[in-house]
Amino acid sequence: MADLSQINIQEIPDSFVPMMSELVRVEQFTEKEKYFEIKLPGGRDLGHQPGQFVEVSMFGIGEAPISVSSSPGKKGTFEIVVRAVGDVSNALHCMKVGDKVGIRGPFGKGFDVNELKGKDLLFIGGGIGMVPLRSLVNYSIENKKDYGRLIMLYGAKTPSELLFKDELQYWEKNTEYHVTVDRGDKDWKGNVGVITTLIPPLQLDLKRTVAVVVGPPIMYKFAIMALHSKGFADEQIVVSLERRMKCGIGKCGHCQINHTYVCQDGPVFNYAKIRDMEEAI
Amino acid sequence: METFLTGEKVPDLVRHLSKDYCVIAPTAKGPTFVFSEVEDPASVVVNYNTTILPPKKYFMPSKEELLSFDKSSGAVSAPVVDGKPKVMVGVHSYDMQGILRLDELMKEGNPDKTYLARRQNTYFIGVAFSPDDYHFCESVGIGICDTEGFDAFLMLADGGYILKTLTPAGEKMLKGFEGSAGTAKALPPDTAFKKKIMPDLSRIPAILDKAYTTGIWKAEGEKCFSCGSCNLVCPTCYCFDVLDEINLDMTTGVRSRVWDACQLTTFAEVAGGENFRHKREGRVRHRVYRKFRYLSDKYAKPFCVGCGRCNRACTAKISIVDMVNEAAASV
Repeated sequence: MADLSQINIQEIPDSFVPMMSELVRVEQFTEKEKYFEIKLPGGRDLGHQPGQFVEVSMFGIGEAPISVSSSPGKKGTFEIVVRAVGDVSNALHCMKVGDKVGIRGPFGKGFDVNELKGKDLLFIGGGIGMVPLRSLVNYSIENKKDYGRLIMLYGAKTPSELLFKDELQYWEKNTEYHVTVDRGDKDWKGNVGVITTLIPPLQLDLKRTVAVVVGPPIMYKFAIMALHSKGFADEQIVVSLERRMKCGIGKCGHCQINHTYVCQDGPVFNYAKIRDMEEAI
Repeated sequence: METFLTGEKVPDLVRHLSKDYCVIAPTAKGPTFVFSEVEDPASVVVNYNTTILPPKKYFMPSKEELLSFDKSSGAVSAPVVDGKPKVMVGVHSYDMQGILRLDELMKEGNPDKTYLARRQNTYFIGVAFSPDDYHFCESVGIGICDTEGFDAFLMLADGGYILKTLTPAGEKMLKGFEGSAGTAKALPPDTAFKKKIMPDLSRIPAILDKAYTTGIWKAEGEKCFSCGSCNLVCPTCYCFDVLDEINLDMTTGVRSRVWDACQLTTFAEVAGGENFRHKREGRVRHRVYRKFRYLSDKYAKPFCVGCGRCNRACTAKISIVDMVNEAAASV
């Protein structure tokens, strides 16, 4: 049993106290999604892995888990993109440059950038799933020599809901970029169809490809089916799962999937490890 | 040290301890019992079936301040917890095991500072008991006279109790205490448990693996009110929610954590509306598996301590013993 007499309470960090951090840039991306660039006290780096998340505090309202969208290669500040769906996110949308928000983190297990070295990476970002995936996409572009082909599939509901519009050209230039929308508009000249329709036509070297899939819950089932049809083994598929990560430190219980805490063992999971977890997908 | 004391001498024991410690013990509350800080030593009861809430409320209060904030100055600070020396008198073995299991969970990973601060400098005097219709701790490997974790223990004896110290801390707190005159024979504990888990404890994880998709959970889910009472009264439940409260000045306020319950409908719901455990059958099954399956690989023991409080408190009188037995029968 735990020997508590040896524990020095003073040395335990105050895990619930956030760092008051400054919003240095705010941009409305779409009707419901807003981009924030955040500077920690002293301008120090967040020190995150792609795929990790932070807890964003709006005092008096609450705290919400938000994925970090920038690559760890971006120094001095980090970026998040937030959809206004609840109390905290709606309050955050009212913030302006210069305002302060609380930041705790980074938390969770991100994408294993070392294990992915040498592989061809097939990024599959559905809708807002592109936000955390971008941290890995941009990191791999910055470190191109460590990776093989970078193939990017991005799907949104409509052209107006595409995020990072200023970066789409950067991605077109630096990856094999394919984009689709569920429904086009009068100006849309590109693919129309759900993101899984982009998978079958791809020419891939399966022996060296890893698929990294991030999107809304409904998307995983179909994306994994399409990847299986293409010949991907479970071990070659990496996903990032969303849950209600309230405390971020593996204690409050809300993010449990069967025996794991998503905020500790995830949100990034190798699909082979979770395929038998009944509550996962 | 070992001494005999009659039931009438228990208030004197409490008075002795009160000199140096805050004493917490069961007292009567209507037809039932609660742990409380003792004001009147004569009100202490050590011959009781169980309390409404387990001792966990002293280490993780039902509402606890995490930090206070001032939006105008940007100041944020965490409270300092007073780990005052306290002794809990009259704790049953299953409640002690509940505390020891919570200790493991709160210490691992990101250690829970306030739980551990409150938990330090806490000492325990146990007492044997006679099982009622709800106790089943024996089925989960906890005997009535299990002394693990206790600093002293009150064994049942003819005409009273035999108080035995078990640790140096126990010796220290009982130094100078004189029991009743005479001696008495220890009575063997009454082990007539009416509630029993049928399969061997070691087989339960494998049984539950097979029983994941049986109809039991749906059947029990249909009885369940999703009220969360079971979570509140369970010695090893510790899930919590976090909420902010702002003062009328709209500037200062407090962030607190409060007990939460995985049985409540919205426990796994996210902003935007997706609920990752929206069916009652899933939530009922989740609780049983948290107690009997999910932690067993790491800790090799169940996290149910057999107190029976969930069954006692349940609006629908659902029994975790019955659920485990049905699962065993179904595979």
